[in-house]
Amino acid sequence: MKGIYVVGAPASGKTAMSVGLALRCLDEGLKVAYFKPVGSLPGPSLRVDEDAVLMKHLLNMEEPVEDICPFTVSPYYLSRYEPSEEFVQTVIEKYRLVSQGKDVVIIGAAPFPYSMAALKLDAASLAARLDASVLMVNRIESDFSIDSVILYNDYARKFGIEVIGNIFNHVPRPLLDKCEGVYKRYLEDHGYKVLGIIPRHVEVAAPTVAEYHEVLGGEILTGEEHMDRIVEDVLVGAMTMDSALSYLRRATNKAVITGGDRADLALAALETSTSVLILTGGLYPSVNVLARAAEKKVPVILVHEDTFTTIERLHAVSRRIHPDDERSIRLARELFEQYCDVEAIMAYIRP
Amino acid sequence: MADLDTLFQPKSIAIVGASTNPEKIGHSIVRNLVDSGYRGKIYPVNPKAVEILGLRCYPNISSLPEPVDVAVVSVPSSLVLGVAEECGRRGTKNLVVITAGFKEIGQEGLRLEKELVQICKRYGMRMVGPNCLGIMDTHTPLNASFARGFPLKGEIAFISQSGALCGSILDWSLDKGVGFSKFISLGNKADLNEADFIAYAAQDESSRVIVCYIEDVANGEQFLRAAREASKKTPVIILKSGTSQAGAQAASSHTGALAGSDKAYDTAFKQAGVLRAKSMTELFDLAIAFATQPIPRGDGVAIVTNSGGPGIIATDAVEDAGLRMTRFSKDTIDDLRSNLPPESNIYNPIDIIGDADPERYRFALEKALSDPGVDSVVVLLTPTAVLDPLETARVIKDVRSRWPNKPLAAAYMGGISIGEGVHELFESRIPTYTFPEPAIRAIAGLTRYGQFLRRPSEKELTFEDVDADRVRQIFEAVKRDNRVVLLGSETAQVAAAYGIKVAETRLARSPREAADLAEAMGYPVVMKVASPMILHKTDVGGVKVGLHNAQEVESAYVDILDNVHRYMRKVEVYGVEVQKMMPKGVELIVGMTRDVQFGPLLAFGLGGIYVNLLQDVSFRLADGLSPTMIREMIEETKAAVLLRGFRGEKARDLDAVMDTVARVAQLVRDFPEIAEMEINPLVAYVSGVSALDVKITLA
Repeated sequence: MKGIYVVGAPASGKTAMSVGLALRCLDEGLKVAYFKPVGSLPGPSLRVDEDAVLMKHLLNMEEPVEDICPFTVSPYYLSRYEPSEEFVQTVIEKYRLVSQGKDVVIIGAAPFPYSMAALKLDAASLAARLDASVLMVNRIESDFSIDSVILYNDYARKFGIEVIGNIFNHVPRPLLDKCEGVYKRYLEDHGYKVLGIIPRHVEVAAPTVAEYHEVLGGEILTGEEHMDRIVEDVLVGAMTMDSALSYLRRATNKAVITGGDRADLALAALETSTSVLILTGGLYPSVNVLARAAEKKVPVILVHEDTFTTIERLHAVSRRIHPDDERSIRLARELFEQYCDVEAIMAYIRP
Repeated sequence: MADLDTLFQPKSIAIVGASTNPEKIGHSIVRNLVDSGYRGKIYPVNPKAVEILGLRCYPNISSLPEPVDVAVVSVPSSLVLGVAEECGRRGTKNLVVITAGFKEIGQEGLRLEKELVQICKRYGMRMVGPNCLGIMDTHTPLNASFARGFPLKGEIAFISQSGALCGSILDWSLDKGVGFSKFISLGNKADLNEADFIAYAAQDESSRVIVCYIEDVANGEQFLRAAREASKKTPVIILKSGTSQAGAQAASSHTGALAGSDKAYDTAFKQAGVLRAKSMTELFDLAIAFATQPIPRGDGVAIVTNSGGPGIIATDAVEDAGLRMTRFSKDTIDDLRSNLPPESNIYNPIDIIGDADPERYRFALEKALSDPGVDSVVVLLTPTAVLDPLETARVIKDVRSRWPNKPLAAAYMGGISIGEGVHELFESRIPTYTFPEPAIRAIAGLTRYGQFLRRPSEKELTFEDVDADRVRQIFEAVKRDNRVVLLGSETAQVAAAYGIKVAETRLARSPREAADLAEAMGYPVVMKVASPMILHKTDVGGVKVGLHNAQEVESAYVDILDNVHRYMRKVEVYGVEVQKMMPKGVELIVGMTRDVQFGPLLAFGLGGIYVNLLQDVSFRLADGLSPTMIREMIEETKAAVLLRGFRGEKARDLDAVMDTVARVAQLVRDFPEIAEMEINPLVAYVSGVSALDVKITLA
């Protein structure tokens, strides 16, 4: 049995990578399980780790979600758990449980590689204890991204953990050449492998309106049926009307945050490519704005916080894949197959 | 154009929702119809009543003895669709839907309204409203409304988006003695809108002027077409509200439509020959003048007054309004000198002084009107002990009847003592105001309209040497890249494809490539970061100028990327643009923003970094942009002074500037997907121009 630990920073595309890899393994007739020692609950309405639910569904796993994902991390987790060797033991037991009779177990990492290090549940410690190999997924934004990639790889090497390779994910189009020509070479010079360079794909990277709503809460005034629209950009509408249109026109599929009393800005936003209107300050818009939004199939969310607080909270929004989101699942698989060195990865996994 | 004869001169009318209760709207409509003296058939429809005001009542539309030309609908909104359907089946030609509870109440109402329009379309019915006061025609006569009262017969067609305003104007006009030909309350404009009524009123013999109050236009293109055509024959005066920031917000909230920018409205009105009134007062001050006065041949004004102060005030107003005080001919001056008291002012304004009697007014007015340089006359009167205002009014009336071809307006300044005189003047169809300024404004309106009528019609300036296919290819590539904002290297190609003189700009993706490009172009060069997300490149250290060799270029490349990422950590950068550095010249801006109502709106003015400070910008719609319009557009700005050569500087290449404006206009006309475009700066030289920075955003 092989354990593959999929590790990376938040929003680097760990879940999509796990989905792609899992489906490929199934295709090859392998028996696959998923395990996530440390889960997370990004929205206030969530009760269980969504990756665990998704993968349980995809892989038809019989184990309850609590076995697939025994712990969840939260900003105050140390108040809940006393340090003890028991946690690691629990993880090892549950891992043994789900891996029984399997050829491969894909292990999902917590949002950060260091999450729950205080309880020795960070990715490196667990990979060593579970005797798993690591597949690193890295979001590429600038030269700094490569620094962190090298640091993580060096760290794993010092722990004696085997790194199968690195995937560069969500690579902006202008950086594709640099990944191929410069970044890859740097890694290889350090003796690390690059097994995939996946261009940024809006449909996988960008959250949906529903995910914004999960984080922000608030009242959906219209457009419940269009919550699956993708949000690629966030703009704040606070300018005069003279400059509003040209400003709003520069971004597509965007969330526009403005006061409920700014009917003019809301209507201007609706004239341009907008996925959701987020109205702040608890101010109800005029009925005409809602009618226009409904006509344009744009959801309107009313929140009670001011604009600044709302923007602050948006940092928690990220794209997740839901079990019934067939489009994203298919896309995750396609991107994996198309842009990664699947042969090299599978050669490692195959018994 | 919609044929609305059956709406305004119907042979038969049904009132659905007619009521026996005098307090109900359904009753007022029947009463108004009867009281207006309407001569066609009136069919009240109400299943519960037997007769209303002596008219036999019908249980429903289907039971009427004949199909009607107009059905006035005043039933609860939940019943309107059923009634409309029945009307359609029974062959009704027009609906006037009084009932409220449609678009103005939100989503549910909007849905109802759309269905209502569908029903009208299906049966070929036209509809006024819903949510309107109704319509009136004093010449038919016809009062299909629930307004209080019926206007006096006149020549003003009044179209209003506010029903309440209709009510108050009607009330005011009855007191003032102002008459109307038509009175139309637009309501929600779900089917018939201001453009339909403007077009109809323009060819209506009983309307001499079309006066509108609107909050928005339903369809910019249709409006422009209608207003342009109408203005050639009948003057159109519009008060458009929502001009201020807060007003626009209120208007959007009220109408549910994004108001096009006020500049666009202003420009569209100007180009369509529409006179824009800035206030209710001005709207009707103008309306009264247009309804009664001829259009002047020119901008020369004469003023006749019996007091010095008001004469000077009026003279100031003439200049303010862009009119000209006529210098009288020698004959006129000699005549005035020999017949007026020596203390009089015989030059314009003609001051016939405080002891003037009606006959002195007669003399001065006759002289002013017969002077060949005078195109319009304004007569001022202040009450004095020796002057009979009523008798003077009669004299003015008499003079007017003998010189009917020049417009005449009066300012009777006072209150109690002049009332009868004012009344006499109104009766004599002489527009009369309390103070000089509105009288001058009215003359100015007439004069502007005259200038519009005399404008030669000119064709849009177009070019053959453009490569639309090349532009299309570039746009497609940008869309494939999932972008809407073009890079500088792309916009340079787009501009070049349309013959716009643009400084050579190429995209480099590495320091080495930048140096190679610079070598090929020749030094010095300018380098700018290439990223669709960066609006102000200089602000983030994304621009380097005056680079003289490959080494400088290579290090500038890295400096720029470092700077940009320091300011904007997550920005996507495509590389750095290398541009040939051009010499200095007069910096201009040529911009375009696509207005939601009126389409591409061009801006021209002084460019560079002071654009927002100086605000020296003029606007034109790109559609129909003729060479004369471009020249006027440039002349409206201070940039024109610089282009001609300010303080001994050499004149710049005006033809090349005009050429650029015309080519931008053609580009944005040919490609509706261009949402925004800006050339800033466009540098004008003694010979030629060069576009240094071109921005394009696609829709």
